[in-house]
Amino acid sequence: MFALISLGFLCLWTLANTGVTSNFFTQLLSDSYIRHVIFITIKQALLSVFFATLIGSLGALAFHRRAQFKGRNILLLACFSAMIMPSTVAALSLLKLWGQSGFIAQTPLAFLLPQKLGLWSVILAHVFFNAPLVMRVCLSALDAVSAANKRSAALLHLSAWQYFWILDWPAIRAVLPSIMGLVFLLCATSFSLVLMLGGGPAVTTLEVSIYTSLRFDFNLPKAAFLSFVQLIICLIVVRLFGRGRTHISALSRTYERAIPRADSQQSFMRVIDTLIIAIIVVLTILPVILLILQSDISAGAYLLQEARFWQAFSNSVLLAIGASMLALILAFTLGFLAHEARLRGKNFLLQMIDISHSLFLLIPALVLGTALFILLRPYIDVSAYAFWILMLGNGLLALPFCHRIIAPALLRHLAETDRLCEMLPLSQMRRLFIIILPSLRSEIGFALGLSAALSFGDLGIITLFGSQSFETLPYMMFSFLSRYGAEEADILALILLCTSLGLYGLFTKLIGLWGVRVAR
Amino acid sequence: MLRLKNTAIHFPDNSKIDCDLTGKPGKIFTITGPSGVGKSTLLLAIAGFRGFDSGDVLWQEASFAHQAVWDRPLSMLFQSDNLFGHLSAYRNIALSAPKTSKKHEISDKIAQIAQNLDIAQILDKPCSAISGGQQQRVGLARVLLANKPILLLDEPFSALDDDNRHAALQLVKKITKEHQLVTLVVTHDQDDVSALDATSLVLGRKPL
Repeated sequence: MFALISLGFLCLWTLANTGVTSNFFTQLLSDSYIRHVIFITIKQALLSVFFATLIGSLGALAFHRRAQFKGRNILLLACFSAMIMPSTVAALSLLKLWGQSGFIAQTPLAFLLPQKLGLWSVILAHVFFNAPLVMRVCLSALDAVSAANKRSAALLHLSAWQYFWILDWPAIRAVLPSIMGLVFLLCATSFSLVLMLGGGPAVTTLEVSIYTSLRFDFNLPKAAFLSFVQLIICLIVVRLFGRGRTHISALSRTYERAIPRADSQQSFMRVIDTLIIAIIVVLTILPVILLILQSDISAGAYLLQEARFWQAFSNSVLLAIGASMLALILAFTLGFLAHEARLRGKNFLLQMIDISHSLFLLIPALVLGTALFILLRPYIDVSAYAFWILMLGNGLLALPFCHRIIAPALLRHLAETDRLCEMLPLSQMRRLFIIILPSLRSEIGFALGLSAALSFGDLGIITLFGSQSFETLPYMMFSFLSRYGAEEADILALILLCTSLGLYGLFTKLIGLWGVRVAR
Repeated sequence: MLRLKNTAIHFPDNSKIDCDLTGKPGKIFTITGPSGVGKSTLLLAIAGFRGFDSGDVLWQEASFAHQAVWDRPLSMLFQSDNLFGHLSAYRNIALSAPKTSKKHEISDKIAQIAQNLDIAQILDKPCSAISGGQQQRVGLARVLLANKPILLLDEPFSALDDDNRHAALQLVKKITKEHQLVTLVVTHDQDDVSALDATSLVLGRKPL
């Protein structure tokens, strides 16, 4: 834990400690361009939080009311797949729908599109990723309302308004602050989407400025300063939105037998829910459908015969597996530590554990990558170890998500089984492999699948380490897009999409099968 | 009069429970049987949260098997979570008032019911802040305000201590007589059958 915290702050210190003059920071703060970048970062993040929360929570309510709607599970699955989609693929999908030569531009609705999407394309992309996340968390909260409460509400024939104020709103209100805080962090620190969709200096965020400082200006102190600013903004937001934790539950836990609701029978509510679900389909599913339908695979198919492609593919898969394993091991280690701290009533230690994993949500991936580069350069040939550095970086970046999935389930399990296991002649290792891991197999599968998909599609640290000799698929796709290689980007996007979903599905299924085998 | 006519519920393990019952107003039935036999499932089916696989359920000789949950002539209390914890006891009770009732009528009626059930002093408190025994009495007050002729109780007093449990059972007995309800109570405890002066219905699984 202390190693993780130290590593985080060491990264920032390493960058700051590379030739700073005494008035350097004052100069930067008075720079109007940097003030503009800070303003844009906060503005786009707040707008993204607003729209993602509004659409996600309304979507959760609509899907919750329509529990008996036949296409519900398929639509939910399609929406939730946005959460594990590589950002490069998402960006390309959104352009297919909203872009200047996209689907909407060719319909009579084209007049609705602004001349230049700019900031709105970034917000659309953030809504694409985060509205399903908000929806998933809110839907879990709504599903968790006790069955007796729901049945009482049905027997009492509550109106739509009463349902909302008495049952739904208290459930959603409990999770909103923490999920809004998380979405703000994700939007404020999102990099590849802004890089690909921002379209110039008008929509440059802190994260993109950090990239420019590192990659083109090689101004390390400036990058460190901007990272500190970003860290401070994020910490203020985390503080403002309270200390609630967003727990991301495995999909299988979010459904239960539907209990009828009187408000879902009203025609007015039917119209409202249909409209909300249609908006969600347009915002999160339609772009991906268009990507699949409109991609010209044949033109870029030659890539599949090139050794360069297969090298990048294997790099990406191995990175995804390694990073997800690392994130899982760290999440379990922190979980066990949190359990011990709880047993001994050490609140300070618990807070440190919280900081140690959340820190990697706040520290930009690029700062982490560059700092690792500078820290390790005196000792090893960094370019020869690019794969391992990338794996470490991606694993740390996946840790906050992994921890949010594993920790609540692990802590609950340990609290329930501690006394029983103490009475049995079980070594700690046997308890881990026979009792703990099989019990948490759905959480482990979900955490590994999500981390692997996130790492597989990541276009963060690789932008610093990527070169002709070391590529990953997202980096390769980004290179083609930068050179107007749309056909190649199309086929790479499809491969990225299918492999991300495949990795996610493979991990969740494999772990499930393994758990069943151990249980026998 | 409540009638369960040749009703049966089928289970995935190719077994079923049958139930035939005729209940006159003012009568209490206890439903007993081994754990997992389907006692709660039977009440949920009468309430409309799931269907019967065969048979019919009638009130005053009119079938309500195909009516929506909220249109059925019944109220139901569960083992826990009958009340919305963040609302006051008063608001919880008032939720069951018929939609056409006027505000002052509702408050007069609640005051009267609260007096009878000895909960007048906790009406303003949030339900999460009152004791388990008081919560069940607030639940019963809601049932009385709804004024529906059938009352289904799914082990609502099992979490209470002996004294509170005994008092609650006496209250059920009293309101069933006074309001001429047909009351069905799921219970594990044979003492409840005698305490309620009830007719016992023992459920058992049969092969399909």
